[in-house]
Amino acid sequence: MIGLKHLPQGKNNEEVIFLLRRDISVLLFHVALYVVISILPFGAYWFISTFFQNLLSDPAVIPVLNLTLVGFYMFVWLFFYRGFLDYFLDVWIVTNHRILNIELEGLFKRTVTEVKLFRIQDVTTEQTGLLAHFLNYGDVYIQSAGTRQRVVFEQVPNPNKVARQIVQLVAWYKKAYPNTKN
Amino acid sequence: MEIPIAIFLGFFLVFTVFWVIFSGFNIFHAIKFGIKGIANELSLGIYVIVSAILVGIALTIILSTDWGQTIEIVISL
Repeated sequence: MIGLKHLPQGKNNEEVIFLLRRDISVLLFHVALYVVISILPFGAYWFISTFFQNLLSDPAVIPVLNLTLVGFYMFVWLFFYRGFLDYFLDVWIVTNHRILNIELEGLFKRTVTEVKLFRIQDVTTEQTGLLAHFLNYGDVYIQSAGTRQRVVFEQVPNPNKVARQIVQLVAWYKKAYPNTKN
Repeated sequence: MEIPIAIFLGFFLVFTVFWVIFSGFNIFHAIKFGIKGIANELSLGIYVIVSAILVGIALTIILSTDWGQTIEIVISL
């Protein structure tokens, strides 16, 4: 696991200012979706008991249906946790020296992007849609002078506040370390 | 036409192999890439416990069933 006190390639005086994930509503939508999916077997049972009554009277069918039901919930649980990990393992860590963007994409792809504070040139926010405005979440775009031009904080809560904090942090860093070039 | 219900057990076991592999990926990602803390450990613990319960239920069904039984399939045209 990644310890916040021992970030990869961390400096001695590095402190985590804040850690961000997507807004909780993104996770709640995911939970609601899987709750609905979990209810589907009840509809299937009603369908079978209404249109295939003689099927349920065969004693050999019952364990097959039960095992199918358990298998269904095993896969629902698997994909639910996968979706949770998609939310939980994508983090943005802002320290007093840099910004780390850690994203897990699919099963075999993990991207870690680092932007040093002195390289940040511009911070922009975007809130698109009724839900984003109502729940106050959105994207924060951080433009840097590095090879990787832009880091995006996706669907984070209070994007305007986050942008403000980053701008203040960058201003502080440039004042505290005016000769930093690398 | 009669088909043995053991066929369904075979399908279930194949699905379970895939399930175990992908569960392993999930657990690996949570341990290796998760942020150290109670939330990660708690979510991982809940996942493992619920998974164990589901596997236990499946095992109970499998062990209490006579897989030599057959189902009669009637195809009426």
